[in-house]
Amino acid sequence: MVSQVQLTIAPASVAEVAQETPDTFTLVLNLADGRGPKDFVPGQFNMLYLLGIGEVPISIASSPNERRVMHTVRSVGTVTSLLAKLRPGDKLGLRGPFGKPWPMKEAHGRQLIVVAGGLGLPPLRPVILEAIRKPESFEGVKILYGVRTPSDLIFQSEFPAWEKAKGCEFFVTVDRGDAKWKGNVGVVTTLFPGAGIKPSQAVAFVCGPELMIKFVILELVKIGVPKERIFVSMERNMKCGVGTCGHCQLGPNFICKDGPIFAYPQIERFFPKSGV
Amino acid sequence: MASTPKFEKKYAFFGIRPCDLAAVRVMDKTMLVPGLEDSIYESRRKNSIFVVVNCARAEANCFCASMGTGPRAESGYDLSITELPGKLIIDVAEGRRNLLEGVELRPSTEQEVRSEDEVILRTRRQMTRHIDNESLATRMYAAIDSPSWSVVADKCLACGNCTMVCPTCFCNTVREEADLVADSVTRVRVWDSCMSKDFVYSAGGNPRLQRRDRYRQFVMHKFAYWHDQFGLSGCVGCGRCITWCPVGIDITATVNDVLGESPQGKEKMEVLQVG
Repeated sequence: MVSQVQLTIAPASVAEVAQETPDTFTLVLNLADGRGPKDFVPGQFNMLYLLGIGEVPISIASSPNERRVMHTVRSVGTVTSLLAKLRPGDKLGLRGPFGKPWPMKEAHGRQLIVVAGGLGLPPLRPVILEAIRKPESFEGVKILYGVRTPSDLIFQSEFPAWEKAKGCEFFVTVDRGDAKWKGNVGVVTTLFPGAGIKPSQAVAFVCGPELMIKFVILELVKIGVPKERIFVSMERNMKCGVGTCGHCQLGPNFICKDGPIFAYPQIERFFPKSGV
Repeated sequence: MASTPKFEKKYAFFGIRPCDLAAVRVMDKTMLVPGLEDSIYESRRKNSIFVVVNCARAEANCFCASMGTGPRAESGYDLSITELPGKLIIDVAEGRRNLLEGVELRPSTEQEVRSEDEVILRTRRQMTRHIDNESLATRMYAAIDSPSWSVVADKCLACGNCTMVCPTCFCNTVREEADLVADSVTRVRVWDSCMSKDFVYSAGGNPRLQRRDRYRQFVMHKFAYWHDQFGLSGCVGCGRCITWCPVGIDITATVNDVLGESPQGKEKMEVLQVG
C-alpha cells in the first residue's frame, strides 16, 4: 500500500561520508522526521533527491539494527555525481522506502547463498549483517562477491568480521587481478564449485549487473538449486517508485513496486531475455 | 512546501468518438490507481461531461470493432448521439435528462432504432483493419520472441509519434523547474515516451537499446502487459498511431504478423452473423 513517505520528499542531512573506491561512496544520513534504519527493510530502495537536480533510486545499504540509514552510491550520472560532492552537514531529500524486501524468512532453516556482483553488494549488506547476527536461523551462510578489479572492492573494512562470523564463509573474486592480488580470479560463478553449496538446502539472494545475474541463475539452476528459491534484485530506471510513471517495467511488472526483489519464476518469462 | 494545483473548471467533451470515450475509461484506471489518484486528473474528470457521437462512417485506420470499443459507445457517456439523415437519435444516461432541457424530443420509433443499428453495422463493415481480440494478451505473451518484431522495427524510426497520439499512453517523468532568482523548485510531471532511448537508461546500462526492443515494449504494453497491470487492454482501436506513423507502420499488421495470423476472415464472418 502506498504511504505518504513514498509521495513526499523528506529532508535529510549527511552525517558521514565514506569513500569506498575512487568513484563509489557511502552516505550516512540523518532524517529530519526522526526515522532510522529500522524503518527501511533490506532489499527496499529510496529515492535520493537534490533540489533542482532530480532523484535517483538507491538501494538501502544499512541494516535495521544500525544507528543510521546508509546508501552506497557510484558516481555515474547527473544526480549521483553531485551526491558525490556532499559533505557532512549537507542537505538532501529522501523519498521512500519502496519495493518488496528480501524474503529473509524463506532462508530460515536453509543454507543462505548471497551472490553479489560489483555494486550489487550494498542491498545485500543488510542481509549479511542480519545473517551474522542470527547464525542459528540459517544452515550456514555463503557470501560470494565478485568485482572487476581489486580496486572496485567496497566495504573492505567489514570483510574480517564477515570472514570470522559463525557459520559464515566469505569468498571474493575479481575479473582481473593486479600485482598484489592473491585471491581468486574469474567471474563470480567460478567461486561456486569451492563454496560448499548444498543445492537441495540452498536459498540464493542475487544482486548485480543483469549479465551477471543471468549467468548466476544459469549456474544455480544447473547445480540444482530450485528456481523458486532463487531471489534476484532487479534494476531499472525507477522514477516514481509507486508504479505510475511506467519507466521500470519488466514485462507486466513495475520493478519499483512488484520488485525490486523477485523470486526467479516471477520474471523467468522476461529475464534473461534481451530487450524486454 | 508541497502543493498541487486544483482544477475546478467544468468541461464538456462534445462530439467525442466511442474510441476516445473508451480511452477515458482506460485513463481512469491508469490515473486513478487506488491510493495514488492523480488529483489534477481526478478534479478534471469529476467536472467533465461526455457527449459521444457514434460513428456513422469508419476512417481508413479505424479498428474499434476489433477492440470492442465502437463504433457505438455502450456506456460511460452522459449523452450519446447517432446521426441519421435529417435527425439525431439521442441516448440519455440515467439522470442526465437535464442536459437536454429546452430541446424538442420524442421517443424514437422501432424503425428508427433499426436504422441506427444498420448505420452502426455498416460502419463496422467499412473497417478494413482487424485484430482478433480473443485472449489477445495470452497470445501476445506467447509471441514475444517472434522474428517479425525485428522486421517491423527495421522500418521504425523510434520518433515517438505513436506514443504522442495514443490516447492511453500514460508514461511520465518529472522535470525540475528551478527558479533562477528564488531558491525554489517546481517539480512538473510531463509526458514521456517509451520510444526514447533515455526512457529506460540507468546506471546499469540501457535494457532496450534496439529500436526493436522499444517498439516491442510499446505494442506488448498495449496488448499484453496492460491487461495484467490494469485489467483491460491499453489499445482502444482509434488508429491514430497508424495515421501519424511517418513510415507507415500499421499496429494491426504488426500484431497479426507477430501472431502469424490473418484475422480478416474471422472478423468478417462475425460481422455477417451479427447482420
